[in-house]
Amino acid sequence: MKSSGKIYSPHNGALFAALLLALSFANATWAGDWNLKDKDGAHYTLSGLRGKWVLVNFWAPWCPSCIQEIPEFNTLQHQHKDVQVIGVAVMYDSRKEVLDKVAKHAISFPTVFGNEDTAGDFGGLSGMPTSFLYAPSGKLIGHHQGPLTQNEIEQIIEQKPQAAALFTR
Amino acid sequence: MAKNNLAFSIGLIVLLPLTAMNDARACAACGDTLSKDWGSQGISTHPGFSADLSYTYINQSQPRYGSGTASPALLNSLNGAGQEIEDYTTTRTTAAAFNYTSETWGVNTLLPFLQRTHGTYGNPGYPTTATYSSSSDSGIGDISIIGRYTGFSADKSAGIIAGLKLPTGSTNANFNAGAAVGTPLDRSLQIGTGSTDLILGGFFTGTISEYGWFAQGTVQHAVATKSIAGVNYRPGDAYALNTGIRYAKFGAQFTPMLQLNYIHRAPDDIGGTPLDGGTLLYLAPGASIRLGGGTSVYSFIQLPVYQYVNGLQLSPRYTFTFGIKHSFE
Repeated sequence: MKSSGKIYSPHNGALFAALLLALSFANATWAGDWNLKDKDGAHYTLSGLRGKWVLVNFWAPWCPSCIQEIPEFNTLQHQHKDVQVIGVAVMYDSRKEVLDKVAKHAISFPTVFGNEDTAGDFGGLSGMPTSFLYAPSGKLIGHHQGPLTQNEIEQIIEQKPQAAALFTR
Repeated sequence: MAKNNLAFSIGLIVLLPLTAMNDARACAACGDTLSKDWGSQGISTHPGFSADLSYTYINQSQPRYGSGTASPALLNSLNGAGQEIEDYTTTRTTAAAFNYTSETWGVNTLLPFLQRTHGTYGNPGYPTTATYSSSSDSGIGDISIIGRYTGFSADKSAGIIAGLKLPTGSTNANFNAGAAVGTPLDRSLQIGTGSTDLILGGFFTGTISEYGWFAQGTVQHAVATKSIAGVNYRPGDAYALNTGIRYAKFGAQFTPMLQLNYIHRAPDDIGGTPLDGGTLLYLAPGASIRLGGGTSVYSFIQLPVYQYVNGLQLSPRYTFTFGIKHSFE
């Protein structure tokens, strides 16, 4: 009699799980690619930036080391047409706080309002700032935790051996 | 990465399946008290919309009396004294939650769909099937709308919660098999409670090294109730405390979590008679996995570590929840 009152299959949970998994894969980005929307609404994807070196820099308004490297990236972006720098602001208290930093430091490269999900698309962060560098082929060169200089990035681009250890996979 | 309030916060709790019945009863406080919505507040989340679809399974099949398991001898004795003995109550809740977060406030709307089956031995008859009755019912449950405010400090590490649970679930189901077929199911076993409940609470969040923590308290009180056939039903006030910890690497793709969920539910009032109520403590290990593009899946199991119920009630050996969440830009 216990079972006679049950109108639901014991497989309901499994069906629901399958539905969730299907939805999950439908929503997930393909491994290795990402889609970043900057503060002005422009979208940047790794695949769409093929042919350029791409530096994705995670920074926070309260992080002195992050602020320190902004002029370096501004100059890098200005002097190298084959490089695309994208700044992803995270752990901020308000968007205004980010926009104030953008204005104060005249950030000339795209700025993204990021969050944990954004960081998750890059595998997560262990410290600030953290930068991810991609070759023109789209291949991930590696990530670097801590501030970077324009010169260091240029050495990587020029494939100088002494710079190879800056970015780790 | 030394900033406080990295990523850990919570929003809603209090999805209390009201699954009691006269005499022997399914424990109304034994339901899903998880905090699922830890991404909806704090600096880890940028403003915008998110949606969450979850499934929770609760099988209340363990007869308990006070703080212990009710023995067959006790059940026979209670049945002999005129008490009905409940057999099981299984509740499957599929819930859609829609969340909007601004920089200092947010609102969450929860739309549950409940599927509930129930079986009980009438009096006398336990444990034979001569007086056994069962029911099955499903439908939209009680919708809740809850707001939160986190603008007290720049790091948004504390907030308040206020909201309403609305009487949108049906209250007119009958037993549909067995000896009691056609008679109304008890109010506490209906899909909806018929009551409008006020929910108030607050929360704190923070980090310790690479671990995030939260603590949240809520009170749920029925401010308007519904009488059927002249009998009023008022769910007992519920006091819930949830605390938890999770690995807090920013943007980690796999995040293990552990919660401790406490709930004290005052007795329901059924036509002036106090019934049910109890105090429960659950340990809830779980995990969430980021799939990319703002989508994550999560799962929890709640394991009772302490249970005290008023009188004879059915409680679950565990509850199970899994879901998927997507944040929109």
